[in-house]
Amino acid sequence: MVSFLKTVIKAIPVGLSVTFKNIFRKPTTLEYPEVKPDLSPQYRGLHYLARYDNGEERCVCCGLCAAACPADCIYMEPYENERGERKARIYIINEIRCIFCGYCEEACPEEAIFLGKEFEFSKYEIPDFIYSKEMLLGNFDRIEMERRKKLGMEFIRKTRFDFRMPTPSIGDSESSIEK
Amino acid sequence: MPDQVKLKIEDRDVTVDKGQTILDAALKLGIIVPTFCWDPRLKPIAACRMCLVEVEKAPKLVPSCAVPAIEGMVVKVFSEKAIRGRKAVLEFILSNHPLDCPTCDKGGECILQDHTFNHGPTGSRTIEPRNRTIFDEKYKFDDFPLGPVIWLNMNRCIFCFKCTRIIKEIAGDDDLGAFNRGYHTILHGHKNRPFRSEFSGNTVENCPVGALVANSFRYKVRSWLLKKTPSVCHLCGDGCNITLWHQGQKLFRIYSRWNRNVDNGLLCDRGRFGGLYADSDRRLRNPKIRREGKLIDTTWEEALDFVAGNLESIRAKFTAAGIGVIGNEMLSNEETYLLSRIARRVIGTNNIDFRFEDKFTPSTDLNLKLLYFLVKRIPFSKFGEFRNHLIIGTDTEVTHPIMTLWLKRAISSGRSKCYAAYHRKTDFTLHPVESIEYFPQGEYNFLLALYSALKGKSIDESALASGVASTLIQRWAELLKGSKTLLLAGEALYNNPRGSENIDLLKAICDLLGEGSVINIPYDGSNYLGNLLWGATPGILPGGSQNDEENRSIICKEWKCDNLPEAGGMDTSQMLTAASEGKMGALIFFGSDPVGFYPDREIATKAVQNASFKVACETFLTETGKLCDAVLPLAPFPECSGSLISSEGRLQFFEKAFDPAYSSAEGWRIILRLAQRLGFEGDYSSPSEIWSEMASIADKCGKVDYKQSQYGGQFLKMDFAARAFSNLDGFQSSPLPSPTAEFPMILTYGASVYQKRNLTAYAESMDKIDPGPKLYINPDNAAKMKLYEGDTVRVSSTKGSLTMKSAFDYRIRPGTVFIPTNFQEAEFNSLLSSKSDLTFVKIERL
Ligand code: SF4
Ligand code: SF4
Ligand code: SF4
Ligand code: SF4
Ligand code: FES
Repeated sequence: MVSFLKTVIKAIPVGLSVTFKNIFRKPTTLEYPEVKPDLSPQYRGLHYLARYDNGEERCVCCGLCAAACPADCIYMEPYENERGERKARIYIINEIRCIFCGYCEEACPEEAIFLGKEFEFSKYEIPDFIYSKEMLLGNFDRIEMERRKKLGMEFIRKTRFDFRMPTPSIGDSESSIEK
Repeated sequence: MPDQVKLKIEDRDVTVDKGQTILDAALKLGIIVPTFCWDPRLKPIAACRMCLVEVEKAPKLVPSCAVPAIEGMVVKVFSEKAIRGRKAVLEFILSNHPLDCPTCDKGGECILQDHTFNHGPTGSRTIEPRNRTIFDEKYKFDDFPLGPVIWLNMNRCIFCFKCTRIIKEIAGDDDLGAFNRGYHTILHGHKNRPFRSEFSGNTVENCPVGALVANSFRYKVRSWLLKKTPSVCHLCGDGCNITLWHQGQKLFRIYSRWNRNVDNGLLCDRGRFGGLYADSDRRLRNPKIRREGKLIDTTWEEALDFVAGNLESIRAKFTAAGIGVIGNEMLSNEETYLLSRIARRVIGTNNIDFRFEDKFTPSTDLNLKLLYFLVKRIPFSKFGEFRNHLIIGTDTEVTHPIMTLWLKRAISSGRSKCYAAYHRKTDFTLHPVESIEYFPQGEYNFLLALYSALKGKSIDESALASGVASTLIQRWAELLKGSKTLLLAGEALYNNPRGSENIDLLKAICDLLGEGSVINIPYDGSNYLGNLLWGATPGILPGGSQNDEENRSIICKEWKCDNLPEAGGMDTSQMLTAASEGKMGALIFFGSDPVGFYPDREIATKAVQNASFKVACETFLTETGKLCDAVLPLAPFPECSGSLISSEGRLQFFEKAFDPAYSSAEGWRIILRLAQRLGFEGDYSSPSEIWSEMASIADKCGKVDYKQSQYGGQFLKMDFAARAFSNLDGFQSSPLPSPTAEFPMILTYGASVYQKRNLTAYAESMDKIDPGPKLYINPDNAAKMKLYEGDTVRVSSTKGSLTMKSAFDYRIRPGTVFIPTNFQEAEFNSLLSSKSDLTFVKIERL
């Protein structure tokens, strides 16, 4: 009995020392959603399909991303656009099957598909996770808009193909358009 | 051995025939040397230098595909020098290559990609812009439509010249050439003319890179997504082996499956592009039955009950002889057998036929004579063994494109000569071929003249009646006499008012020619032979035996029944004539379209209208189907499996690529379900079950050796009793009726080279190859009529008239005009009458 008490009394300060040590530490959890996490540069979130500076989509529907995809969640059908180029008529990513491995990004020869930093896209219905080409291009437009806003640039886009905006490098925050 | 040489490759000894190349020797050892421009079917030109190897004591690397092996040679394929050499060649080829693999349809199956990966440099040392060949600013992305079905992107070309050599050496045409030099080389057809050839698709299949792309495949799908199913082309009697490339229920392209003995890796454009008709979305989707005068969609259950119920009541009213079945020659053996069984056993009639495009259907006796010739079939690959080829009554380029290539090969090897007689010149006769053009339907007189000439009798009368100069026939007789000749007898000989006499004459001519002369009948249609053998004619029972007491009892035992209908039974012409007079109760059309193709539209239409009940089973709604009481959607060949017997006598199996699309069903299933509703107790779950039943019947009948049934296509052994051929002494020439003043021209008709009936017209891009029906006329005749190409003309006969565009064709015999039969909208048969042998027309310019 006595030896038991001895052990307990010895153990209490040892345990509490851990507690006290951590009370004054900065917490690892976040007050999400008020506080947003700091994402790693390698973070792989929602996909987007990039555009050229003139607003044209980069993807040529070559099918390499779909071939690389281990989850088989990309489907596409090509067509010939009015200028005789190969483009995607249908381009679908099923985000609920996607395992966010990033192989598609790796495989793309046209630098068209990217995994962005967006992770807040939960939905109520499974079909809503099927992202069409327009949605994926829209993701890019949103990201691009935000980036430009952050850089203090005005986002002007008159038509689908009209971006008219040089892509400034970081630090070039004074927008050249306003000048 | 003096004709063999021994050499060393990679320290291994190999012996090859003299004249074989180093590459052949390496292949014999199983050493793969990378190549671009080498093709076993073509003469080596050593254009690409990809196959460089090191030969000891040779100062430079040598192209192994072109350098013959020499006694004592020591060859190194994988020495450092050879590897470096090949790497340099690839770097050179790539220095101007656009590397647009992501947008190139060859990506993933490109030989340049493979070779670069295995043998090539890892990077590029140049930064200069690459050479671009832009034909026309109108076509962006550097693609250019070379011909109606083929796009060319010159940037990707690696100048192996396989395409031009295939067209020149194999197809024997000059339609594609290479112009300019070096990196400025361009490929083009004749000046200002698109590239067109019946074999143009082979250039696409054999181009090692994506420079040539078929219209129907461009920007459609990536090749690695497609599944491959072995199949057999259904569009002519050659039975080319094909591979169907498909994804899900969509057929994307048809490539060759390389059967050395049949197609040698080549396909005609009809088979390659026309076969895509199966993918058309204009197909019949649901069974339809007629309710209140309109065809309405319904379910299979209801449709089959409707058909079976009606057939039952017709049988009660008209007896079984009032029901007729008209199949078609594209049905597989299994379907034909089942159709014959339901007609004879379940319905109880001998009224069954599979030919509906012929005015003069051969009689049973003639059919048996045709089958008798099968005993000595000559495979295509043996054509070269004959000194002469005598082709009568067919345009082989249209009916048998690939067989024609074997003929061309025999000619170009210098061993054989060809003689072609037909009522017009053909594309084939533009080659070094002697040709004779007789009057349309002058076959009998021509054969009689040739026979008399060989016998040394006077031929003036018969030559005159056939419309050929007698000296010409004498000349042919002298040239052919005593030589080993292959006689190829076309359809015009037996689908002829004097069909039986023609075949007798042909047999007599064959006997007069040199030893080893043989008659071959290249049947028109993918399974003509199978239809004859499996009982799709009134007079021949399944198994190929004549419909008589004794043979019926053999079949009865197999089918476990007491008796079969007595001999007799009507062929298509008789059925249609009887039906048009209201004497037929029911007509069953299985893939056949008499209204569209029977050479008398009036009778065919009346027949279908006057029959009390008619049902059509077809892939596309035809003119006949529109008049029927029930229409059942039949699945096209990629969606069925079965076997075909090619006109060469080869038994070949084809596999189902995917389940029937829409609500269509395989032919055998439709027949079976219908038969079961009519009281048939048997059941089959797959064509192979039907097949084993057929094999046992074939065994009992002893006509065909049907046992071997693996893949690859065997040459069937056949054994048919000799027939009695008539004594020819009494044969007299018979002058043909001549055109009247009112109707001065003779109308001829036939298939066009790119099309099979109206089926292929449903394939994408076929309308570009062969747009719309035209009236073909000899320019001399046209000049007299002051007619220009493209003028709209009215063609009229005593039966009716048609309006169409005119086109010039100097191959047409003066005094005749030609209408292709492949266009449903053309209604060519409204000009024809089944009562008269020849049709005379007048042409007016509108
Ligand atoms: S991230 Fe991976 S799983 Fe998701 S689409 Fe790309 S390749 Fe497929
Ligand atoms: S995203 Fe890239 S890899 Fe995928 S189809 Fe488009 S171009 Fe090809
Ligand atoms: S188009 Fe193709 S087949 Fe023709 S020369 Fe160029 S690479 Fe060879
Ligand atoms: S030659 Fe005949 S069998 Fe061969 S691809 Fe052409 S149509 Fe088909
Ligand atoms: S394959 Fe030998 S040179 Fe082209």
